[in-house]
Amino acid sequence: MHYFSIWHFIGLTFLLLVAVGCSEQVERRTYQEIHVAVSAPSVTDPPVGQAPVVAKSAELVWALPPGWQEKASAQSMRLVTFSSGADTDGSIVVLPGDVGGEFANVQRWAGQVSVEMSDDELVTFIAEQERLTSAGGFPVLLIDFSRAVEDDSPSMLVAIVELPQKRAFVKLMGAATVLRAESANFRALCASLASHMPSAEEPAEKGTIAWDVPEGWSIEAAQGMRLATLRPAADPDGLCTIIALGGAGGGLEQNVVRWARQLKAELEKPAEFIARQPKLDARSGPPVLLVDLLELQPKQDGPSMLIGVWTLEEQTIFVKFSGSVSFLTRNRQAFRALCRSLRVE
Amino acid sequence: MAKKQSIIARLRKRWLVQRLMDLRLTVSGLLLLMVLTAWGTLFQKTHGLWAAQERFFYSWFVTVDAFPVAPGGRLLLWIMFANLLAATIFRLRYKLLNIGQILIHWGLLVMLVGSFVTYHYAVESTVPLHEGEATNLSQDYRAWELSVWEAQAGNSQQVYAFDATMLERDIPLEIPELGVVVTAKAYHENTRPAPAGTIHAQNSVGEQQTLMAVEGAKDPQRNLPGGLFRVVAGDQQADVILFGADTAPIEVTFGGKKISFQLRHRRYVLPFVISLTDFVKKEHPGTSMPSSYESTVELRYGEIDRPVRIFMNNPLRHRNFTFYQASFANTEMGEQSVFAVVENVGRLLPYISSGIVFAGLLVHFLVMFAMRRDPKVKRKMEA
Amino acid sequence: MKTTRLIIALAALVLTSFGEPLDPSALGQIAIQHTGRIKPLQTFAQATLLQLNARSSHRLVAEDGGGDGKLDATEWLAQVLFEPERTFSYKTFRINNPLTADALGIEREEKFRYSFAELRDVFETLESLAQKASRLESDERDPVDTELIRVYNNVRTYLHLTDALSFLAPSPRFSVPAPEIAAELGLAPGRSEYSFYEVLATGPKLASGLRSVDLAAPATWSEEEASLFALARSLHEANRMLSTTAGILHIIPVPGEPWRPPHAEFFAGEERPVLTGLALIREAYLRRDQAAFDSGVASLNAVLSSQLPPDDEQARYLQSVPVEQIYNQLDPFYSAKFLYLFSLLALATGALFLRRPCYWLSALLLVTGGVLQIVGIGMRMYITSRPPITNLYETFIFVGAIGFLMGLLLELIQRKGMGLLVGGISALIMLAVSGKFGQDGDTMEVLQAVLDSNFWLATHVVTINLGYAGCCVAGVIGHIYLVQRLRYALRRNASRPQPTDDERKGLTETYAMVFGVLAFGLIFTFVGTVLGGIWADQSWGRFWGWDPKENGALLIVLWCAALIHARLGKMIGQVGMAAGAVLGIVVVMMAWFGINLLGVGLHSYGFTSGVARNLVAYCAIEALFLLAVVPLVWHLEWRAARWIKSQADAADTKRTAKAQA
Repeated sequence: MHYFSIWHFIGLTFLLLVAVGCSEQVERRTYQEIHVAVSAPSVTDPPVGQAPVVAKSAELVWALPPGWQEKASAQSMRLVTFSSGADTDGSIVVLPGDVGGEFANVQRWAGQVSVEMSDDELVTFIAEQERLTSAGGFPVLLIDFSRAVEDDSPSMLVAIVELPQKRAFVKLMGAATVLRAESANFRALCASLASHMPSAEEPAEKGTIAWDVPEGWSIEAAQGMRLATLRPAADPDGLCTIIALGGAGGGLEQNVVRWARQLKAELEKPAEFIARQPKLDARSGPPVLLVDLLELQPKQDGPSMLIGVWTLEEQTIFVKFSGSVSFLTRNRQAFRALCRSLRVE
Repeated sequence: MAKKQSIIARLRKRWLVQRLMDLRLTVSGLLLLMVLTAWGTLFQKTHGLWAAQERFFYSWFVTVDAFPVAPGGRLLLWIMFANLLAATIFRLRYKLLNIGQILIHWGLLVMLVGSFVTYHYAVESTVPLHEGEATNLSQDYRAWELSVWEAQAGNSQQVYAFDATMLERDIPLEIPELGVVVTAKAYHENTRPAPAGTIHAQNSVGEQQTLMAVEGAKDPQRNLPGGLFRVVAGDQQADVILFGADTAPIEVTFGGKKISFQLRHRRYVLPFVISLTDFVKKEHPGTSMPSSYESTVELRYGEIDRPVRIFMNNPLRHRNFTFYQASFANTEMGEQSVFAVVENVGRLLPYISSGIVFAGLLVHFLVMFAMRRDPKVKRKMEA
Repeated sequence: MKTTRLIIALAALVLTSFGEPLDPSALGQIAIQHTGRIKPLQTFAQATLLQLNARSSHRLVAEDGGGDGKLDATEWLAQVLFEPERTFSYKTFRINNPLTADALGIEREEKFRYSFAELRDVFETLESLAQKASRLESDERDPVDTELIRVYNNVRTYLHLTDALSFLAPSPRFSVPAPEIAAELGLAPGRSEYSFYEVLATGPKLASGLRSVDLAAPATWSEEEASLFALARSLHEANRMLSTTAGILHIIPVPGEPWRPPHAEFFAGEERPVLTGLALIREAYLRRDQAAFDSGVASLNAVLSSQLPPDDEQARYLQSVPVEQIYNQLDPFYSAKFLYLFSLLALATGALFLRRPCYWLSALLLVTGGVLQIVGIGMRMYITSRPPITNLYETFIFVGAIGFLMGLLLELIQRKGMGLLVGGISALIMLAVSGKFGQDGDTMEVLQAVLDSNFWLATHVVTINLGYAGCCVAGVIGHIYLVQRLRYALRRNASRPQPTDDERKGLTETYAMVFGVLAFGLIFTFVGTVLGGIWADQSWGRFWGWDPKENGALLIVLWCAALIHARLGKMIGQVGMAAGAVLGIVVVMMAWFGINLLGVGLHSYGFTSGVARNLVAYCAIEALFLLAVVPLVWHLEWRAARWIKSQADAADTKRTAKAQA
């Protein structure tokens, strides 16, 4: 303690830190990544036994302003790619459900164009943006980021269009000065959005999906893409959800494989498996394919699923019944009755 | 006068100890901390929380134009820790009457130790999951890495990753296992797509993309780095543009092998696999303000596979990890539940220290209350 | 002569009773879902009127500009819903900035209130100016732009209200010129114009009348068929217009979902109980039939509440609706303010004469006010099913109540009147400040998801507000100590430079209270801050993040700790401690709502304009107070010390002289 004072200690530590900090070494990390991806809805693989799904652009019509060109046509959820001329990229994309709402999306886009706003500022920003009703009666929210940045940084004009049970995003990206000049045209494009209906005379009532709730089952309200959540009241071990997804909802085979994986089972030949599954007649429209995964679960109290897949023209309804094998067996009749009661009203 | 004084009594006489346990140091420390806190809070309004933390609370000195004008949070808290330690050991009288005070001061010491442990060892990251998605990795909020792996079928792969700080230097990054060497030809910590930019090349996979360097964002979480990378494998080479906002990796084929490259947030390995089975969001009726959101996840480790519900104020705790329901997002692939993950060895320290201090406060209060009846104490209190 | 006068008097009585206005207060009991919460229409009316008019009751102005009576919020709402044309000329819209009136091209009003009729004339200008202003960046806007946006939104709210029940009013769009057609459809005879609702109710009859019509050949239609078709088309168009607006009166309960406005019932089936009920109420209102109105409201209410199953969680809120009405009527905090004021006045009077009676009167008034305030808090807790503090407005109310309780406690210990003074001042000031934060309309709000935890709201928020209360009360007592000390210092003179024993005792007691209450404040603020850290750790994984509100609480803890340690180390005396306690109030105010002015972080949940200005003014006043009092006390006591010293020297010299002699 006499020869080694605190100053010596401090000096040594300092030198050590300097030595460590100055070394130039390439550090490389190695790790094992485990990732189960979610299958994105795509139209490119037609479900087994069905005709290829109709192109989406039949759903919406619009008028491109003069001088704007279409660069590519429908591709999965993107209805069209276009440009307003000099160095801009535009697109119209249709997504099912309410896609998270205005705030979440505007926040995401603001991040993409380096517009920094606190949550409060964002709410005010959204409230200040223009809203209009398009030619087809769809409410449109026009978001103009080009005025929120300095001159020439990359920016975007984007609109959220409320379609029945879906949302369309109309986007135009480019330099801010260019976008400011095109904002009137962009507005005109959005205002021209209308639905392409075969019978234009009477206002076509968009059909709503309906079903009969089995006796003794409770039902919870709709949320976005989920039309309903049902539970047998006396039997709390399982859950039935009715979900509507646009288009083919991700491809039947892909979905079946994914469901099997959720049950820790691998389907050797999914196409054959699907072909074996029974079909039930619904009250209106096409038959419901009943995917029965009970055989994949050996244990009586292990989890399994029964899924009714009802493929309509523009959307696919999934009636997903999950619970233990014994639960599903007990309530199977009620589930079949539910699937048979599906109809469009 | 006892010949053999205790160590504490002897040390108490040392000059350093006398200075360290001085009450004037305590008062000035407290006042300085007030100034720092007030200044830092005002600064935060214009510059954001991250910048304020870095400049005022996590720094050794607060500088104005590179001149240190005040001690920063770290220095000040070290000094106050030393002051508190000295006072607790040397100034406090260890009598039964003082047990409340003793507990309070020791509790505060533990709190400061806890903050040290958290600051140096805690790792905060995030896990965003779509329904049906599973992963064993969490992502850093700010740091980025270049990840390289061989694209294989199945859910699991071996990934080789380099911190983004390496990319700013022109060093060849070697991956002998894959026989690949990557060099960053151009790299910026914050870029955006642009019609004509400074980073431009034809990707080997045929897509053309141009990026332009922009100023670093006020909040580093908004940074999207991008770069042009030259990949060399044997006698083949390819130029690849990687952009932080791309959700899919770029695949390059080298003689039969498909190698994937991606610029993504730094990954941390979790000792378990977490998968999202269900996400539910409720809103206040008639408003768009969320009233609650909750996720049901499956936790897989070893042979165990169990479902857990995570929602507001109800995190999942597993070993040193805590999983919080932070928020939700919406992407092209559907609704996404976003979790905040904190790995903190010292996460119990704030609770322990709070318990000690609360106990001390209670005891002190009770002792004071009981002692008020005693006339000796009463007179002392009135002085 | 006498008989004539009697007849005239009787006639006058009869005539005036015919023109008696109807009391629509029964309407206030209907429950509406608004801003996420279920509340009585009375609260909705008050909040809306406050938003448009900046007052919760509507003053009517006569032709000559003088006063012409007053409508309370429910009366005004009833008029807007049932006879909107009457309200067009009322000066409903408050526009604070005369330049806004200029921008719109309307004449400036002295009293800053404008009628819908005036604004309707310039509505296009208002709309386009407001939309352009909203497209500007928020810091590019000047006060006129902000006000234009506000006024435009208010006018739109007003229009929605006038439209809300417009489907019950007869309209030229639904005219049936031929009485036979009207009879066939089952419409009421003797009129040519009908309302949307009446035409809707003819339902199947209208449809069957049109069945044989060839839509492709209008030329072949008979007059009857043409008028039926016109009716159907008007019905269709009106329905489309009505269903695109969200409707503002969400009064039809729906279990588990947002409530629906009345027009949700249009096509819900043959039975339309809510619409029928509303039509009845409207008719009764227009006929000025009080009995029919009241019974109509009661039966409509029964119909509406029956829509919820009794075990539904929303049914519980329906039960608290009448409690909220009582709360509105009672307005406890408003009355409490006056009781505190009078209590303080009584105390002041007691200092001059009638000491004992004034003391007891003051105590009685204070306690009544305090009990009223606590009852108010309790009612709010019952109505919202939440702990007492969920927003900034409620923090002031709560701290005021704690101030009252602490004052009461001090008084019970000391019985000298100081406790009454402290309690009255603290509670009064807190209530006065709270008024500034209650201007947004409905002070009972819903919480965002991350704040939605009754446990933490009850522990962390309550504890920290107790800490604020303690520090504020300590500051108030600090003021009293300094004033006391100054008084005694002023009394010192050359002949008696020492303080008397009584003076010393008084100061010691006051000082002990300052110290004790400050310690209480420190403890609770500290505990509250730590609980906040634990909440943060439970919620998003970090105990402390240097968030502005966390920093604010830390500032208070640091200040109190610094004061106590400074006193411990004898670095400051009693005066220093008292001055420190006074400054403590400034620190508390900064932490409390100065932080909110920064608008940063999760805690930015309250903001009102003018607050910044008042805060700065308050700090200036305190600074002046301290700068005036403290040096004066020091100077006077230094002078007194010199007198004591010269006296002692004189006594010394005398003694030595005596000894020498």
